[in-house]
Amino acid sequence: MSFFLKSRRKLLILTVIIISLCLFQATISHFLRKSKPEITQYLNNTFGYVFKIDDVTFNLARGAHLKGVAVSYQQKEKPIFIKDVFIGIEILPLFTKKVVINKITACSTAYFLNPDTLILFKKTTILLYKAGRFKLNSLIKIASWIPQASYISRFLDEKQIIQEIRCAADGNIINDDLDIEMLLLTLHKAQFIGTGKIKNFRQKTPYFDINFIPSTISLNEIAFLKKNLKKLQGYVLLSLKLNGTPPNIKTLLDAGLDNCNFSYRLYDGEVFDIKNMRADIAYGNKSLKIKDMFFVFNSLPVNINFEDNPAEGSGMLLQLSLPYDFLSRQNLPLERLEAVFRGRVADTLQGKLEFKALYKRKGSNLEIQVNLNNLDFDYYNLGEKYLKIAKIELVKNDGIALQKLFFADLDSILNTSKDRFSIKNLTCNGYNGTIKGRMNLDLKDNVVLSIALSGEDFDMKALSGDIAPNAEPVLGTLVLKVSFNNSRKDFFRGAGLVKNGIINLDKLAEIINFPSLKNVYFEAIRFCFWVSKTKVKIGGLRLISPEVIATAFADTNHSLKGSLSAKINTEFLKKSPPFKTLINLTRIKSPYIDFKFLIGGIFKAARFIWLKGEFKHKLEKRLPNWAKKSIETRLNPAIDNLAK
Amino acid sequence: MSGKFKAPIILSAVILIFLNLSCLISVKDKRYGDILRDIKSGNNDFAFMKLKDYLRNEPDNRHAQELKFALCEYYYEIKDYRDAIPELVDYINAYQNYQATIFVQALLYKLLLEYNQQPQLIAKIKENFFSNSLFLIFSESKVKYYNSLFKNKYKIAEYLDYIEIFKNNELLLKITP
Repeated sequence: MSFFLKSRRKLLILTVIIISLCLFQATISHFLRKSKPEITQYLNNTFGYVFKIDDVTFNLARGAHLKGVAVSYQQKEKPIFIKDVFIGIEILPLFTKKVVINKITACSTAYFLNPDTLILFKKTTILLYKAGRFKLNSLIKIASWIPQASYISRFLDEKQIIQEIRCAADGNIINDDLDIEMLLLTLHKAQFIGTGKIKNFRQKTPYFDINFIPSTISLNEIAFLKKNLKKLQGYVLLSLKLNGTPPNIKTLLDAGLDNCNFSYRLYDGEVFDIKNMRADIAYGNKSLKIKDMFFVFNSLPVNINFEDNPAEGSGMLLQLSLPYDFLSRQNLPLERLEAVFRGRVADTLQGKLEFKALYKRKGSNLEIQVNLNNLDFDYYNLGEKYLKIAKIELVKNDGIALQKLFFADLDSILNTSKDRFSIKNLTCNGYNGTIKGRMNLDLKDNVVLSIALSGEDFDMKALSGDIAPNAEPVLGTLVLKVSFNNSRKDFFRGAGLVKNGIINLDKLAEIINFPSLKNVYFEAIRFCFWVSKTKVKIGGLRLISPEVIATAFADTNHSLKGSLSAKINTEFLKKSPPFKTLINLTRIKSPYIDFKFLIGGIFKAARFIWLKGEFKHKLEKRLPNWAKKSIETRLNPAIDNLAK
Repeated sequence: MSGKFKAPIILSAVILIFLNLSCLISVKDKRYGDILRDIKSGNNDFAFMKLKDYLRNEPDNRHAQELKFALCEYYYEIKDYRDAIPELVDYINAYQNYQATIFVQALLYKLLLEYNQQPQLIAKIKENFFSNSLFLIFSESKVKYYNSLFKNKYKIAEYLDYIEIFKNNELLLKITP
């Protein structure tokens, strides 16, 4: 500076240069301002978009300055608004009446993807080189608000999604196409690299074709997830494709989640832990598919498949199942246990919920399904709330026949906490009877499911019509208590009482010449049963009727083994001629005669073997010695005549 | 109470009450505070998103009029005329007697003229501008001001036979009857 001050001449030259430059700047500025309509028209015609510009000036350092630029596809469309655009122009070509642009800087470019999502390009710089080469750098901020009215917002602590991404691109302009040789998106430490083309970028309908190579990102780098999920860990492998013409650019996203852990606060301080989550996720054409998702929910491992394709109109499909190795560690002969929901999720869960189980025992597969139709459940803020289901269907498929049981009007209170899920005060109707009970699922250390149900006043005719439609119905009224607990060796047990009914015991009459036992009235049939992984036991079976008092027990693991003791009324037996002969021969005075049977065969085809020898031996023991010798020769044929 | 201590005690009580009220206000208006902070740091776009969300969830909050004006102003500034026109009309219908309404009318008038839309509405707005009596005493014009949330300064100068509206000291609109 002192060098210039020393020389007045040089100072004068400097002053002239500065004034000339200022005049030049002012002239160009004035000229551009006056030419604003022409510039706008030129841009409209060149790019096919509608441009609106607030002001145009010129700056020696930064070039042409366009203030307040709005660009829209059509007049009535929502515009992309750019606060300031600086267009760097090479000075020398201007003297040959050529405008050569070498740099474009756009500050604060706002694009509303939808009313709740803003993409802000904070500062975008495009450098244009000779031979059509370009370089782009931009800092992008994406901000989205999940509306409070949306049901998803209820599950989020942080409803704002704010993510900053650095974008750099390198490529060539070839005629009307932008050939992107490298596109780099940087999200904190994660980088996504892509290549692609924007065809006809100067036209009204540019076509985007951009592919990103798969890249791994730590979930902690996604701000929205980090704010809503506590103790978040894990990675996701992402690949992205963009194809199409704005505003209908198709996004195809494939993601692979791996080794994810997080805690989620469901409500009121209750925090649920999700561990070891992995999944394959595909999103495209507004449809979302989650395949082979696995995670451990507290101590319960879960597999999930999910599909939602709104375009198809079929609603959402959510399939939740327990892994086979988990089931095999339980005390249950279960091969498969799953829940399937089909419907929609809005403020409530609406649709159909099915529970399916495949129960395998030696020689038999049994598929059980529980259908809950017309479900409308308010799942939000699970703490304690009512659960009502209009219709319930229990379906049993043993590969031979399909059996269905129907219940209705289930009413209960659902209670959820971190380590426990319970249904209490359960009531339900069906077959003229009512069921009451409760269910608990404990997830703290071991998974324990316990169910206790009691029912009364069931109409046996209606019930047996559905349970065993081909068998002779048992009439009467049933009272039943059952309980299930997977931590017990006998995981399923129960006891029942059928009162004041009629039963067909002609099965016994096939073995022995009893009088007809077709419609035997009984006062009570009592029974209990226990089911373990290897056996089904039926015990304490006791039938009380005027003609027959029977007790029985049996167990089965495919093959049946048990015994039946029946006391038949002597007067009743006299109705059968062979028995009349025997009774007269032996002069039996006791009111009942005992019969013992062994039970064998298989559950569906039971066999009874009469212990004839024991029967004869007992009879003989009761005879006085003097009578034995005299009737011995007639006793054997009389007994033989009893058998069929 | 001794006279010596009366003043400090009363002063302390007033300060305490004021602080508590401030806390209450600040807790209640945290969202409003967030919007102001965004505007202060130049993030008008984010401020807009937040105020839109605030208005959607609490349409009757105490800052509703001010926020609604800011919403209209933002749509106008980014030239989103599709969304601006219904919001401006909405504001005018909701806040007919408010100080800022005349400026909203001016923005709407300018937009409708630019887009050659709804000529009947243009005529109605023009009529509204000149519908009130004007009393000028020792002055050529009557001036009113309004400062918006986005720090834009609006001024209306009503003359005998025309009206000028300024935004940040630049002429926005001049209307004659």
